[in-house]
Amino acid sequence: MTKKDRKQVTNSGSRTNPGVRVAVAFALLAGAAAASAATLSIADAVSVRKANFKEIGGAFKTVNDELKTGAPDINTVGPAAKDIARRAALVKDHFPAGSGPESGLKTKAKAEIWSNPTEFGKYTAALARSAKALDTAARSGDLAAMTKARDALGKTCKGCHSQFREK
Amino acid sequence: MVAPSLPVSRLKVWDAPVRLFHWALAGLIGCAWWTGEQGMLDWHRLTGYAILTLLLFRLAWGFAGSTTARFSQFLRGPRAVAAYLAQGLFQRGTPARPGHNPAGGWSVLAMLSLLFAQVALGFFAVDVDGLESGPFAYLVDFDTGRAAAQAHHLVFNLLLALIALHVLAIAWYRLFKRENLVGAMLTGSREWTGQAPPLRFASPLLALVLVLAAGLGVWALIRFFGQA
Repeated sequence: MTKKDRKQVTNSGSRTNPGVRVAVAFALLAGAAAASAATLSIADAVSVRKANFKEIGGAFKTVNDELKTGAPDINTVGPAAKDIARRAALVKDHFPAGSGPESGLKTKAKAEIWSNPTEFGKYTAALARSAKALDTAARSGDLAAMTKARDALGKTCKGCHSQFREK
Repeated sequence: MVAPSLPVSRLKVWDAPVRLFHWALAGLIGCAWWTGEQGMLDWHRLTGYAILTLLLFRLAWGFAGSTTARFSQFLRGPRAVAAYLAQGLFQRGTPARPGHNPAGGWSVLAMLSLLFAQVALGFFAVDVDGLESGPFAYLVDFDTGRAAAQAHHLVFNLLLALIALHVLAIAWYRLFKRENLVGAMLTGSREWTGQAPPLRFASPLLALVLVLAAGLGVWALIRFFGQA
């Protein structure tokens, strides 16, 4: 008698098909695992998003501190602007469904981000665009161009935050 | 010849500089709140500089000003404060001495200290975007600047609590003690029964010089050491 045969014999009295039982057990396990993976990824998304925004804020402060001097050090502005451009491009993917206030996590992202994705999408696109423009201006080294690009990027931050971020 | 002392008379208590300081400060705190809420940070910074000028003037006036403006006159010991809170607060009529009461005196110091702290925090504060900042925020990193901004919000709430206490005390004086403190802060004088205490009033010209010096000092601080 093979192992398989024995198993079949042993289970022959049961009303439920053993294959179904095993499948159900696996499905339950898999479901639980998937649920916990989903929770984890939402928490990750929120912390990654916060960290990225924080870096953008810090880099933008660096740019602004330099521009305020009237004679910015291009070796300081350049890397900061480049960093902002790289990070700004990531922002559009930082708001997966479920990572808003309903997540119960500490976030200032308003529910309107998901209820008005068209408007929010305009801002994430504008962010990527104006950050890239600042990077380009920083490469040129032209103070007037950098100031103009800074103002445009600042306006994008403020505009989106006033609409989609809790105070 | 004038009678040496009338039983009931008007007594000048607050000099013009103290009154102007008080109402200008009240107005500027309102401006600071409004410009901060509206994100008018250019005006918010200017309001802060104006408040700092007033604070520096008041600090100097507390040492060189009129009798009722001096810290040495209104900062009393714990016994005087306890006696006032136990009795004076519940008695009607002319107080033992003109000017700030023993609890109010410490409240003045608390208010001035909180305002100094508030201006200092604003100097280093950075907004969440890294866009707007105080004139000395360039000296600190983003995280420190954000912490300063958060403390700036917290201290504002403490100020609001102190202002609420101030207004409550004024209402108490009006309703229970039947004294009009707002009127006294407007006209500078109050009703006084009995011998008028000797009060010395400092020259308004000195006040003007001190305000100008404070303003010049603040301007130089921002102009030569700040970045805004």
